[in-house]
Amino acid sequence: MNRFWAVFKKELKDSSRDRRSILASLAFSFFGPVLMAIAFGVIAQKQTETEELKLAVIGIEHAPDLIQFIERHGIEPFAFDEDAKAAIKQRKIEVVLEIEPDFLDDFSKSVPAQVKLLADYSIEKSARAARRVKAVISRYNEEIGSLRLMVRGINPAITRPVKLESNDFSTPQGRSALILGGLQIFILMAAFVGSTGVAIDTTAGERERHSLEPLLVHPVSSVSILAGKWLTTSLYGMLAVVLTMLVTTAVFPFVPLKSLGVDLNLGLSMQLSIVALAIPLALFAAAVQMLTSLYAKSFKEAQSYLSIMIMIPMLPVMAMQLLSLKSATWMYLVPVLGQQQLLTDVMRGDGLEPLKYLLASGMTSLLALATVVFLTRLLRTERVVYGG
Amino acid sequence: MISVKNLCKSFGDLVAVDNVSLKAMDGMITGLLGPNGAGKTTILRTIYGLQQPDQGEVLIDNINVSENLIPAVAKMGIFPDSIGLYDRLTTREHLQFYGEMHGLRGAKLDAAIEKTQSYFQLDELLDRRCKGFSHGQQMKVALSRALIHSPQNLILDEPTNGLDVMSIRTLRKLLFSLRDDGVCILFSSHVMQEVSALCDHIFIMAEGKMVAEGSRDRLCEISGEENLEDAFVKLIGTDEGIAL
Repeated sequence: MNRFWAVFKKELKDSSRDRRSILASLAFSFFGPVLMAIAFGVIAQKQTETEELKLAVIGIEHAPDLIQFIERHGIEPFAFDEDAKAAIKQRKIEVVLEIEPDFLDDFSKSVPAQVKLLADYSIEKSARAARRVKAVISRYNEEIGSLRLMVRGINPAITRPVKLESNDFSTPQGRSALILGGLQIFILMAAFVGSTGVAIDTTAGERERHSLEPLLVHPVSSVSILAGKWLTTSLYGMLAVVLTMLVTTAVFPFVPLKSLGVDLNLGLSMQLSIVALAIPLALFAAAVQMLTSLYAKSFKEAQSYLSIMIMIPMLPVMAMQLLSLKSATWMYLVPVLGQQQLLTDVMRGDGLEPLKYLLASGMTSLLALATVVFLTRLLRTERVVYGG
Repeated sequence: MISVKNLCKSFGDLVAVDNVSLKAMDGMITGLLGPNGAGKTTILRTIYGLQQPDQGEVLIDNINVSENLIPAVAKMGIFPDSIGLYDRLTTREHLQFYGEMHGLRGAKLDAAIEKTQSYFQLDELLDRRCKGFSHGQQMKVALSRALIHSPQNLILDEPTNGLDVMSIRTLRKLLFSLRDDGVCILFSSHVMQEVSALCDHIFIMAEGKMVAEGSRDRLCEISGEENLEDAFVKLIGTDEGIAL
């Protein structure tokens, strides 16, 4: 036990003095959430601001009232007298409204007054503009129609047998899933990325610096050595998760989450739950990365392996979202996937269900422990100490 | 006391050590001389338990290394093939850590550090981080590491490689005084001068086999040569890989 502490203290001292590599590994925890917040801020802004639309009108002078109505609805009409079709095809303008000269005549006689909407529906932008203009004109129709009925003493409501209220849930929820999924990926990855450098340094690095052989010629069990290294490495993973949490909490108030349809309140209890569920994951990430590094023939090889391994935390999140998988109990038993499930529960506001937490954390910790036990068998083999 | 019996070790087709036996007694300096690639390091690695013998056994003060590695290693001070210091730790932190690895704590540990650092006058290096140490300075820290727990058995793999003359003299004096205190010292070298100047008993290896053993005089006698240098060359069969 004393020797375990001695190893732990030494590893912690040694790794904490490697400022550069610590900063490099924690940079991810810092910049990840910041970049994500900026990205989503931009999306939110794009979504909330209405696109400005200029409407070319042929015969603008024939329907001043309609033009005013259109203007009031955020579209800018302007006079136009060129070839409408060519201008649209060349994408100079999106849409053209043509008002017939006898518009006012027909209008005052309550005969349908004709306007023509010219657009190219194969051009996405033109089609969108046309839909907007159409919607404004049909609202104008309704308004004038209602007025005409009222003048004649009829309740305009009778012309609307069905009242349709349409609510579109698809986009905000999709975005919400995207944002929460992104946050999940950053938290899960932090547990891995935070400890990558130390995991390599303390295993493959120790061999490459030729300090493994001198260490192993001391009367200290492989268990003490690896437990000390493992604990140190795990701490960096945990630190990265805490940092990710703190930075996220700091930057998220600046993201207009509401307008993106995200209902996430990163309160203290949610933060603590997330850190609690990530601790076993950090233990697991440290053990697996140490195993990979110890198997690698060199420091560089270890780095290549681990840079691929960093993809692992992304897989469950992507699989759940892309394949629209339904949550199932067995998922809690798979490391990383289990934590992803817990994260989803926590972010939904359900908190950590004790049984599920124990299931996921127990299994993940157990597998981490098994990996470390396997490492203790490996440590004093000639292949590990002397390579080859 | 270190006792190696009928040791065999192969790496694939290469027979590195072929049925070697040797004994290093307490209160004696025993040298393992041989050209590069003779199998010296393999034997030492087997003695301190990081390589498993294909056949044979190693006893340290009658503890079998293969069966009881940790108690056996506790009896040894080892200066291995690789120096392997931690760049970001100071000399004192090294000695502290390795002292703790030997179970030393508190006042005992402090006393051990004080005693060990005096061997090579490490005062100036004591609180400096090891990054940037010269090769000689690194060697001194590594030698101190092997001595921190005042071991009964001292195993040194090429301990003078790259040491300056002054340091070699210091090391020599230290080894003599440890020997006089009854420590069992086994060291390997391919430098003949060193072996002949230091050793009470010499084992000569070539191509994985033990060629001859004995004191300086005895080796001269066996080979029928007047001078030790010629004796070595004759016994090994070549002067390749041996330094004077």
